[in-house]
Amino acid sequence: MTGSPYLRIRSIKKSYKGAVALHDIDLDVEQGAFVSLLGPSGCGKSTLLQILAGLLEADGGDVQLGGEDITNLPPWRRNIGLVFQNYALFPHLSIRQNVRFGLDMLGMDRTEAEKRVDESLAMVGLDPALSRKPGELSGGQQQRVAIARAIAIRPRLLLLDEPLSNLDAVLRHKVRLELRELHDRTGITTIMVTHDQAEALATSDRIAVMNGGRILQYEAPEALYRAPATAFIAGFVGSPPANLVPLSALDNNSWTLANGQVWKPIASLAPRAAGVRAGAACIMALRPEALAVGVSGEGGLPGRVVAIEFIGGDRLVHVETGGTQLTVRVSAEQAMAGPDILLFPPQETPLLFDANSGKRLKADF
Amino acid sequence: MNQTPDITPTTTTLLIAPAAVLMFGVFVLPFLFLVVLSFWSQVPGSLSLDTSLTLANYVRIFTDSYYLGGLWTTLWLSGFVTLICLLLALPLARWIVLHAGRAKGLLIGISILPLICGALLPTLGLVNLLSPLGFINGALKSMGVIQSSLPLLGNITGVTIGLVQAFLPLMVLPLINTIERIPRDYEKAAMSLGASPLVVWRRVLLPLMLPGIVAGSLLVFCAALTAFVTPQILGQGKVVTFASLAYQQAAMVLDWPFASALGIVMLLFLALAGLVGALISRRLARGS
Ligand SMILES: Nc1ncnc2c1ncn2[C@@H]1O[C@H](COP(=O)(O)OP(=O)(O)OP(=O)(O)O)[C@@H](O)[C@H]1O
Ligand SMILES: [Mg+2]
Repeated sequence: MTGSPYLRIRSIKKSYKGAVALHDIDLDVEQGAFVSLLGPSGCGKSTLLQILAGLLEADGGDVQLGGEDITNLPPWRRNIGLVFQNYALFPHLSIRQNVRFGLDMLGMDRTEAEKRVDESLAMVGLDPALSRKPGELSGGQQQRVAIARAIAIRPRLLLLDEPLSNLDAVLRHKVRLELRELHDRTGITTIMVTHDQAEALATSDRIAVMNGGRILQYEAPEALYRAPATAFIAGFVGSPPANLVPLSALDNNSWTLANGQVWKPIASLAPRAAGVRAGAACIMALRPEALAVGVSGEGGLPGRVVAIEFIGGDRLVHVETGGTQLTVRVSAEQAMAGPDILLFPPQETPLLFDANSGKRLKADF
Repeated sequence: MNQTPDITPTTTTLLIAPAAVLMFGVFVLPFLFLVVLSFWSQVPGSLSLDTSLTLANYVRIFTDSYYLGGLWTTLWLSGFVTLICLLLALPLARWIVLHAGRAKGLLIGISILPLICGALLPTLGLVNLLSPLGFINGALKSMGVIQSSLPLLGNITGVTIGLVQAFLPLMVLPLINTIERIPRDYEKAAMSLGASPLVVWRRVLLPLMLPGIVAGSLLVFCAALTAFVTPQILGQGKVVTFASLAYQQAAMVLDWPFASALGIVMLLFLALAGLVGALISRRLARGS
């Protein structure tokens, strides 16, 4: 798409009594996209969402939606749908009345509103004849009602604040697919907050990874997985996430591990290949599923098996290596010889980060 | 083996017996006596009682315009005081819940002060404030707002101010209690669905506060209906309420049967108010 993006967030700042929750947030979202805000608890995701909805005033910066500056628009004029983590269904109204609430605010006439309620409930897979109060529904049903209520007004933007976190694991998996389907059917531009990276990877067109009130990287899921911009992201994305191995360059060919042990890897993983000078402290990210296990060979990282977890189909092998514990994912059939093994990282360019800044080194491919 | 003592119906009965006897002695018996007394009559010109049963006292209350007027004044005054308390308490309670922060305990303490220091002291304080030479009139005069004193004592205005002052906490406390239990997400959700603050109040906050509103209104209404000290002092005998009528009859005219009948009528109105409150609460409980 050319021209300015559908949602354009510029230098949004927010502090709570001196504690900074958001530093200069910039974010562009294309029309019809499904974007996730991914980050650990307390990183400012909900704060950003509330600012977008107009429920919280930013200390600075501006927000444009569809070319209109909405920074100072009160929430009730924004036409932005919001689904809360705890659903916030009005307990004194029936399900249908909840879904109709926003339509009444629009002044829609009765028959049309009722039709829209039916549509919206059907869209989230609920029986439109449901005449109960929210308190009588299961968590999963309440969540659907909350979504139906938000989409009934045909919002310009749909904001979901951890919509799946109150559901059990099985339901969460099912509903995240449904969320994506619903998005594809309605075409409503959607921003979902989550701290579950698997959820973000599975549903989103793009993911904004946040930490400490900043957006660290904003990429499509594959790019985020393949080329994390910081060690933090590498250690956060993937199931299980990448192992972060602290090491420092001994010379052009070898690394010193955390416990002082020296590791001489194959040439493509050596300090020289990464352009790292002797003495520089780095972090190497090793993906659990990309590590090969062997007993002999060139450039292997020596380790000792500490524990093995069976996770169905695969096994997670916990390996003590040079003072760091790593997780390796191997198929369940693979035999595991003895406690002492060698780990072989993949041959391609390593995911190497500066230990101080956490930034990616030589991310030039 | 089982260490806990058996709780049998017999032991339970024994345990509540002292309280039951006390309640019977100081509440039920006098109450029954009051009921019976209200159907007796006073022998004119003497202090002796005619114990033949008669409805005369009740007929007198509901036909004599003086007593009917007192009853009517008391009812609408109580309703009016309840309304004023509600209008003042709604924003106050919400403000205390949302913004008072650390001062909340202190504010709640201050607001229940009128309840715990009795009716007399605050009322006498109000006399100082409201009298023709009191603080309010003095201040208004010195600012040149008024030339002669506003009549704030010995009329309905004074009594209303006094009753609102005395019973506001009865409204504020239940409201604080309900408002504290309303998550703020409801308002936020309503606003994101297009509801302006006024609509949020009407369609979301007030309905959710209804249990507190009903409880507070019932408390204030009943308290105002039976109030004696405040209307007596601030009304300076010129505002005739039901409690003051009963007092006149019991302590000055010494017509005890008639005073009893007045008391019983007041109790009936209290019971009626309680019944209405209970019905509304029941409907609310069933509805949500
Ligand atoms: N009302 C508030 N007053 C003070 N500090 C707040 C307030 N709301 C949030 N914060 C702080 O701002 C930071 C960001 O909070 P926010 O709720 O946006 O985090 P989050 O990413 O949504 O976390 P979670 O995943 O736990 O919901 C946190 O450090 C939090 O403590
Ligand atoms: Mg949050």
